[in-house]
Amino acid sequence: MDFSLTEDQISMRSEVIRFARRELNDDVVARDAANEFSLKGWRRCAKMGIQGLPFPREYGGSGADLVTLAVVMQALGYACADHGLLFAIAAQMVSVQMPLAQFGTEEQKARYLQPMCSGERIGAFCLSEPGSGSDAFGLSTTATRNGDCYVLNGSKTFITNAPVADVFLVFATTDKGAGFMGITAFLVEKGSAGLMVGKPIGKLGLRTSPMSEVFLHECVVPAANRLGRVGMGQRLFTASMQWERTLILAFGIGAMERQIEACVAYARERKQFGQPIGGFQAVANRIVDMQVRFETSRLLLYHAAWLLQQGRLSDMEAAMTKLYVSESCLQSSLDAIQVHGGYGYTTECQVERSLRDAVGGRLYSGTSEIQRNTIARSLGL
Amino acid sequence: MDAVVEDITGIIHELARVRRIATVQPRDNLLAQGIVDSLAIVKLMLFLEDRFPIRISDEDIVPENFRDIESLCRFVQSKMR
Repeated sequence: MDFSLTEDQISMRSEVIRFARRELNDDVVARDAANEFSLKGWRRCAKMGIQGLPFPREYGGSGADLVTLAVVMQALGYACADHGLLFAIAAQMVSVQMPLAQFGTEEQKARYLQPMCSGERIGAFCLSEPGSGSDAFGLSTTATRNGDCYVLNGSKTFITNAPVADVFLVFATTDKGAGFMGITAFLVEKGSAGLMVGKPIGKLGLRTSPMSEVFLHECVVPAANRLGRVGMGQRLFTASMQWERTLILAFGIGAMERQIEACVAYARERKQFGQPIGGFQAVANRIVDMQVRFETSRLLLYHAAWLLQQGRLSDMEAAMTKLYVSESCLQSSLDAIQVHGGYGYTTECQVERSLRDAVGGRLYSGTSEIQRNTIARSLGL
Repeated sequence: MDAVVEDITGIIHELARVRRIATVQPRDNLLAQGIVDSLAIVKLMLFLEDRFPIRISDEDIVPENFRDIESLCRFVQSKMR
């Protein structure tokens, strides 16, 4: 068993950290307050090769393995303060680009995957509806075949990237009597008649990642834009969910790493009662717990990414990774604020933004309760 | 009763109890009633592969094979041939 990173991975990590510090951290506090997405940051990341990293070279990617992707996402999370941007990018990669790469036709890959790798087009994953969240396949949106087209009707909510998206991966029911086996996926282009994007939805955290509702009213989609076979939506969703639950919180582990460094520096410098506060066990032990959580999260992430690369990741391992890392990110953010005291509570310190950003991690890609249900079921309970 | 039918009826009734459905007839739609949903399918596949000498591929997971107890029995019996 070899836990060491390769020389390429170490060098890529250093390069990504330099890039993020130089190119991605402008005005994050102001943009967070204004709920402002950075298209400039998105394109810089694409130019750096982030969006294409794990995808085939023939579609503009680099063909990197998933452990390398985890290392790079963690490095971005460590050095980039704009976690809304990182979340938006990761969401597109794991839930739109990945199904396109795995299930798309050559034409679909050339038309959609390639420009997503290059940053020219932005994708949005449209599954959740006002009436179906954790029960992901209780969809009301329908798709009815009409000649060479499908007609889509319904509404989607909490759609990351929707306000800036060029392509929407929409899940709809094509056979109501077939339950979850009657779900089919479609690629709907911005500007399609009957497709409407709602006003951006305000959020507690990840504010620089745009989100809105999407409405489909008699929206006509060519049959050539169906992704995968009829009734294959669940399989497509499950495949992308394995990627999502494994990888989407990698940048959160980077945030934990940054928080520990900040806490150690502050605890050594800040003096109370005539000594650095790090000399008090109550403070030191809190930082120790942060470090243990960081290391265990990182091990879970790398192990799950490695299993996913081998095609051996089970739903339980993906759920454990998502559950543990999301809960650890939140606790680490709370601890970082506590170590910084009143200063940590201020916007200027920027730790409070990490806390707000971390709350969403327990909700998106399946709540912590859903992850526990999956683990319990895998244990035969 | 045929062993395949008996075993499949047993596991389907077990899954139905989770949904608080007391009885399931051989031609009741398991998918529409949610007895076989995206979570139950994993348990069902593991049970079938464990109980019978079959391997279920992604291509097999279509409504025609899982719609009701009768179609499920036909599917398993065809896989065993």
